[in-house]
Amino acid sequence: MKKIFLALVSAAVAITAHAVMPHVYINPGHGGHDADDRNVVVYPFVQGDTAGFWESNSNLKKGFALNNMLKAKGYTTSMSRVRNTTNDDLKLATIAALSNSSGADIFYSIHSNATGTESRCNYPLGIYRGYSGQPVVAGSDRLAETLGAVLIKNEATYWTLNRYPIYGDWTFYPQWGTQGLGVLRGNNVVSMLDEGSFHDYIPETYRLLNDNYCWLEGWNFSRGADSYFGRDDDTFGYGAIAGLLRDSRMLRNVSYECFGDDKRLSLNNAVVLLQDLDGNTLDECNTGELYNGFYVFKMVPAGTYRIVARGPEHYEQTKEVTLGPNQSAYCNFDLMRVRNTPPEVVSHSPQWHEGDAPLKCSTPIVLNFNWDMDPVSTQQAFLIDPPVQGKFTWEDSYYRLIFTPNDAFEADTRYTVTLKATAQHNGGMSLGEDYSFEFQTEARKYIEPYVIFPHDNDRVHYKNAVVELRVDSMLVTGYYYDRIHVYNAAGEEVAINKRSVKLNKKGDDYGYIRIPIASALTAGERYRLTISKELVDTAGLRLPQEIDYAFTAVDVAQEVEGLETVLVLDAKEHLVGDGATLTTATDYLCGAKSIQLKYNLEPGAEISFTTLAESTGELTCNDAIVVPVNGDLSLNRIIVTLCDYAAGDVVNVDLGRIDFNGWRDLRADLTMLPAGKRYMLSGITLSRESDNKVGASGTIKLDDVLKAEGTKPQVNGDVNGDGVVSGADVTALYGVLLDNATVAGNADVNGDTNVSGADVTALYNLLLGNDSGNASVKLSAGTVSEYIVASADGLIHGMELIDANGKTVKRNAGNFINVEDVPAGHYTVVVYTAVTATTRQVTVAH
Amino acid sequence: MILPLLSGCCALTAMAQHVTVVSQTRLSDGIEGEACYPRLSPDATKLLFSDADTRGLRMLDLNSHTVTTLSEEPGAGFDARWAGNDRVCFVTARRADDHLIYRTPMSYDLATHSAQAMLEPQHGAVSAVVGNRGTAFLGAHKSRGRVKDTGTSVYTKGSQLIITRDGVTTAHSPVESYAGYLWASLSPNGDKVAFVAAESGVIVTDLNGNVLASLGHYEMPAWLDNEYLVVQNATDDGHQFTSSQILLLKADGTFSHALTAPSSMTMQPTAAAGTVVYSTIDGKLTMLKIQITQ
Repeated sequence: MKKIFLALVSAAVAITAHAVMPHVYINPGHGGHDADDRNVVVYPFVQGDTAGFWESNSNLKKGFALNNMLKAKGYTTSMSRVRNTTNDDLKLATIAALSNSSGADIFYSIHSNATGTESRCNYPLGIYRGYSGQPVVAGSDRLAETLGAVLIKNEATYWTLNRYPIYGDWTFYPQWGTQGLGVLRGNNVVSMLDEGSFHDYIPETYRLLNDNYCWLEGWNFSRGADSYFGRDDDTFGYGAIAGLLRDSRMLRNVSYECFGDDKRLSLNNAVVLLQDLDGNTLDECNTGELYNGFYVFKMVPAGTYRIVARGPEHYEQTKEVTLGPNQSAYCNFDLMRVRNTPPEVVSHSPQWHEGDAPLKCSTPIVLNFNWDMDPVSTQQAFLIDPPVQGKFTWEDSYYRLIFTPNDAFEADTRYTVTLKATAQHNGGMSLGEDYSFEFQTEARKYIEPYVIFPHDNDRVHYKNAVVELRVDSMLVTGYYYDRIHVYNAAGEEVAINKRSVKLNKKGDDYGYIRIPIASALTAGERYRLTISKELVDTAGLRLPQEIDYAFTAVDVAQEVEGLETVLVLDAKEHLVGDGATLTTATDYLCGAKSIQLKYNLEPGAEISFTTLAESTGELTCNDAIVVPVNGDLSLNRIIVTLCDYAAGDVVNVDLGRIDFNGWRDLRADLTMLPAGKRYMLSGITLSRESDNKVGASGTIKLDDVLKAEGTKPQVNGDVNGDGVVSGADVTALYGVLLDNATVAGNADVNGDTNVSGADVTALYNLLLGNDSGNASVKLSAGTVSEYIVASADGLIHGMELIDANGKTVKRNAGNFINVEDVPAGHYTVVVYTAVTATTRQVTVAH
Repeated sequence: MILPLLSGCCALTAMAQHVTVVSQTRLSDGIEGEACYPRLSPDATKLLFSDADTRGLRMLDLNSHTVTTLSEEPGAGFDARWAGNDRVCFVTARRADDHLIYRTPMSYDLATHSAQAMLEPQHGAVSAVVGNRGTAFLGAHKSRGRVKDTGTSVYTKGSQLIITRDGVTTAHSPVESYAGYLWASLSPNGDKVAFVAAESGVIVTDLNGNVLASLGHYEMPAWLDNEYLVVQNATDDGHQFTSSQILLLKADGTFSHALTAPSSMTMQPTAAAGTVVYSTIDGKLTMLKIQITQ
């Protein structure tokens, strides 16, 4: 049949020959399969294989097609190369000079494009010499426009841009100044360079490996030339019918990026027939074996035809196409695959049998089929008991169904999955019988946060604020910035410092995401921290709920300003044990420096450093001790040790856990100190509790130890407010009664809400030891799990919980202690009232 | 900047020849904009040049440093030729309403400062063949003058080298080339021809078309004297120039000397009477006076 067409073509040429025929210079770009050529490696070719994709190959094939078609249309042509060796890759000035010398009217430099990056796209692009809109050689812009109008209409590809961009090379390559493209420089013919498509878009790479596809572009170039010269009339009575054959639904199982219909499988070895309307076959084309599914019928007389497409495993499809003279007609096919056996589940996961270890609650359910399945009937046939809300996804061109629960499966639960017999493949056949299996989930369902900073309603030092989450499993951190957000009071997202973000990695003790805020927060302003439930760990588990915490930015330095210094910490004067180092730090809250403690701690261990007695100020029960700490969210405890050197009495004061990042003023009222006694700071201890999973190592900073006015114990009889009951208080009480002195302490000694002579009597009784003061102290229960609550006739100023080793476990300046986080065991409770401390025994049991 | 480099290169050649750049001069007086495609007159007193896109043709008098405009037409600068020292032949190119390009051979008389169209504009290739006895203007459709009357002359047509000697014109294809031949020129004494075969580079033949030397993949050969040529040695990445330099070559292929460095982006050399002029990628002209001693 092709011979018939050729004879017709010769006749057509004779008819359409014009008196003066245009002369086209054709420059197939690059050449030689060498360094300045472009090789894209795609299967089955290897790097450097000259049979694989090289831009020089496809450019030359397009050039040949253009040359042949122009000649068939009566044009005069010249080509810069007809072979593909290094010597044929002519120098740029030579090509321009050949174009000038040839007598040509127009010059086409044929190329294809590449992004040069990881991103992909596919569209044609035209470039002429000069600035955009100001071609150096008049008419070059029109040459690009007429070509682009034809190329962009190619439907046997997938364009990611539906227009043909045109640029002047001085605009397109501004870094080159007015040097421009070498083949256009000094080329005084109306000229352009076309980048026909993107050869690093792999579906296009495969198309460019098809000689017929290159022919189509060459043919379309000839139509562009016709349009430029105003010869795109119907005197050339032939055209081309081209298209792509793809599976109607199966997807390419590939890792490279595909757009639009290119995502579906291109059909190899498919046969396409060109038939007249009576069904007589006029020509035949095979799509080949290079994953492009392309066919073309060349030099087809204008008319109406039937195109019959037959895939090797597909139902035949026929379409009718009308081809105009000197036109390209496009006819793509989406062929339906032949499916002639019932569908089966060939495998499933999870695979679990009675006695096996239970599965993670995030385990997806996967069903693999022997056919690509109909998603609607299959999803309707999918049952799980107990019922679970989830989503279906399909992979491998509908050969694989995945069910992923919206939330995790319930913990410690037996599930039964059933695919009912009504599931069908796309050919309409059903499964035949139900398919069922079971699995058991493990006890852990959610990610367990160890600590999140800030906590709800927390205070955060405004400078160098850091948001951090520490959990019991390794987090998937790839999209942390989509999952964790901080908003200001206006609801605007607060910028983070991405370069300084720290993320958990394999081998870490716990999962974490640590996000520094880019700029200082505004002290006094309220903020929000949100953490999405979409944050998952490597097992696919999520947080138990969304986090939405409010916090306030504060200036801790301002809060401690003016407090009296107890001790200026100096890294050189304090000794610290093994596993830790003390250095001077320039990040400080007050003064001119702070000290930095870098440590490693075993569970249950502690590390201390001592201070020099003569360097510290005195502390009494009327004071609060304030230690500015730059925390590391380690949940380790800070304990200060106070010493009455004269009496040899030592008191440990627990300042609490380091459940924060950045500066914070840890405070504790010293009401537990015996009234009238004076203590000095003798040491600071960092203690890791045995169940603390995040405190193994870290770095904290401590600034100068300060003291503030404490919550003064109302010491009964301490009329002058010096913390002790003595004869001086009698004098003071008389002063009050005579109305010539102010009350510094508590003058209502007998508690009758009236200061009178009866209080003098009560004061004398106190001085004479007639009031024991502790007889009424009682605890709420001998065994507790949550709170120890004390009661007494008088005011209770504080409580202290001491373990069997004499170590203070907890303190509270009130009549209760929360023991929820205290290990079970036997403890001593010290209850402080106005004048004395009373001990009681208590058992903590959980 | 170039002189020290040249001395070094000379020391390395270890040949009998010694190349000395006697002077190096930037030609900028009276020149506005880019100056490209220079062509020295045979006596090296005048210089033709065009813009980077061969639009227009101007002449710089190297003695008076005055510039004369010979043409403003497109294409005039592409292959302008000296016919003696007082006449210039060139071809202009104009696109007509039918989008075809029509070319006109022109002759400019420096004595009268007048330009004359030697033929009506015509479609297709047009060229001027300049011989020692006359000039012929050849067109695809019409010609003026006969090549056999040019004395000794040479030009290229496709992949043919057309040599005329004593009224006898013969066509030669001494090396294979599909794309064609370019830039044919006679040596000053008229006994050798240099040209470029697109795929092979610079070829030197005798007047019978016998290859005397194949000098390498260079472009735009120009005779400095009867023994030496200058050429452009440019490289590219398929889109833009990546380097370009001017080389001095001995016509028998036994000597090569870099007059400029590859990174200098110097190009389009012309030469005559011991003088070399070249342009740069940004259209700056430089003149060298060369002395070659044995």
